[in-house]
Amino acid sequence: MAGFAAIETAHGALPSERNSHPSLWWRLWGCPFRELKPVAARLLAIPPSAAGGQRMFKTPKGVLTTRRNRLTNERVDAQSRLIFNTSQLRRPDVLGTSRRPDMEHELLAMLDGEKGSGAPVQAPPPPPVSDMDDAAMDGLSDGSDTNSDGPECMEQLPDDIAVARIFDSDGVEAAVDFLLS
Amino acid sequence: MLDNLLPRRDGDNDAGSPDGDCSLPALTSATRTLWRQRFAQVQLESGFACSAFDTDAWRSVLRLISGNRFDGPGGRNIVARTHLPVAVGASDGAAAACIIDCVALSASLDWMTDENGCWVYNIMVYTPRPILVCTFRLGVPAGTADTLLARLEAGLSGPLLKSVATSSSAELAGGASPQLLFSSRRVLALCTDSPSTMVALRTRAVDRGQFLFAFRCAAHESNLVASDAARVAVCALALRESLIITVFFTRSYRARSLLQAVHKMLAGGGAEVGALRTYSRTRWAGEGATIASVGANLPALQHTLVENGHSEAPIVVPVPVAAAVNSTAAADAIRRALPFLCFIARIVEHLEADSAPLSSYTGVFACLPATLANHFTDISVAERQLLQGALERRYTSFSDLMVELAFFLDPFWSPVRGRLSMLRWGGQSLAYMRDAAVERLCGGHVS
Repeated sequence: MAGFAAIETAHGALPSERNSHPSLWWRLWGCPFRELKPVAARLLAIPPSAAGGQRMFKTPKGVLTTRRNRLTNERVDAQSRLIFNTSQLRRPDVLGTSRRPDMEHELLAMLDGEKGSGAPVQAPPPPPVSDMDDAAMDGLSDGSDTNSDGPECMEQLPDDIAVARIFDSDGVEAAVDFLLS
Repeated sequence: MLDNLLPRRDGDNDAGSPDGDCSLPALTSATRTLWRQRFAQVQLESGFACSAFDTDAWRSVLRLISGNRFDGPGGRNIVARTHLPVAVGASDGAAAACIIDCVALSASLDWMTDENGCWVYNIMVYTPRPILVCTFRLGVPAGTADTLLARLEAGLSGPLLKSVATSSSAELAGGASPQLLFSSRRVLALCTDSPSTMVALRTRAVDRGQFLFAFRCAAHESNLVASDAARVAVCALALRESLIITVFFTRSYRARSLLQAVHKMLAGGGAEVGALRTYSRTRWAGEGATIASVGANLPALQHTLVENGHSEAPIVVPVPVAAAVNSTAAADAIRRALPFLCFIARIVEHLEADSAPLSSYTGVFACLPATLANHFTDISVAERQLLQGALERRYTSFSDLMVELAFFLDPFWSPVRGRLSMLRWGGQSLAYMRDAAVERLCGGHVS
């Protein structure tokens, strides 16, 4: 492990190396560790979330719609696979284009004591005023880098419908109580 | 002028009359078939129905723009029975090639309710680019862990993954160490969300040796941390007051219009602010976005209430809404709660990205409680301790030894690794869990 620490310190200190994906780092610098390299390179290339499965749900919802609801399961599956996989395969190399987010750098900086009063507020960019109705249906994150919308992005959420109904009948506080229930 | 509208007969292929009469060469049968297949492929990839271009209007337009040589992909039955299988076959071939070339493979199983009210499950593999393997419905059988595991095994053994091992059961039963299996091309891990059925599914899948390890989805769990944070007193007050404001100003048409008018007026003066963002319990880390939008809008909201008071026909503003807009306690709570909630939202955004490494899971969850000790000081000490407890509780319930090992293998975290390795999670330190992971990796024989 001492050898690993030395190589890590030497090559991990470079800003370009620190910002690249750790799986690529291991493929580049892990040669001295013949047994550890395949484990590390593969382990680190696994994403920590199953959010891709959530994002995929938009696809069958676009195939099997209110007006096209008698399609066979096989056809829905086939067209969903075609749509989703084709769009994913067109994306650039995920690992090669990956960069460490500012959030992780800030976490390290906070632990190093560089900042003393909490992380800087970086609120999500607000949508334009004219799109207020659309904004109500947006997911939080929409960066093309992450290709990540929330699980129910860009659709009328059940909560939105329920809140509208409760607000009309019982008032604002009842609607808020429903949202916080 | 009229000469420009007449078809040219000088061999120029652009020539043609509006009714499609032109001198373009006729298509061979093979070219026409190719055109139909390519057209249908793009049509289906774009989500159009098989019958989308199967109308006289579309056929006439396509004939017009193609010089009477092409009239679309054919009828709905031809598209569905001939072109769809060809297009799916080409897409599956490209996906299989991507799977062969990838560094590592993991799988996930998730479910949704479709348009007909049926539960639809999807099996994905991550290269880390997500690839859809198949969707399925259970039909009559109940969605138990055993049923789902059987369907998961069946789904993974389909043609898309025929070039990789989809189960490690035989090798592990034969005495192979997980470390050796890491070197071969196989589906290594299973990641799901947290309902009890999925927890049981993960446990059984690992016990049977199908996957080398399994873990809960980090994005789902960090979203639960955001929900925990929203229950801490200062965040709860900020959220409640923000929701009172947001619900009223997005659901009341007149109030919304008045706020938009104020927005335009402020934008003219150079103080442009975004719209209010509604809140839904199912939207990931939505608390921070909603509270941030209210915080940014507070001056505009106060201005709106003043404008309304001067109006000839004022809107009836409920007392709680007026109180929330003008309350200094609410404004203070929003200011104090916002940094942490927005930070959590950024964590969720990172962890749900395909490019996030597995090491970020432990890295973020280990760093955050440590930073709460000396940062985010607008939140009281007692509340920060509550948050630290929530983070520890969440992490110990979903972590896996291999996830901890990933943290120790990532050079990015090297500056804080020594400091965090002594942190205790559920009674065990990270260093202890790392050693246990190495032991498991070597099949219990550490040299």
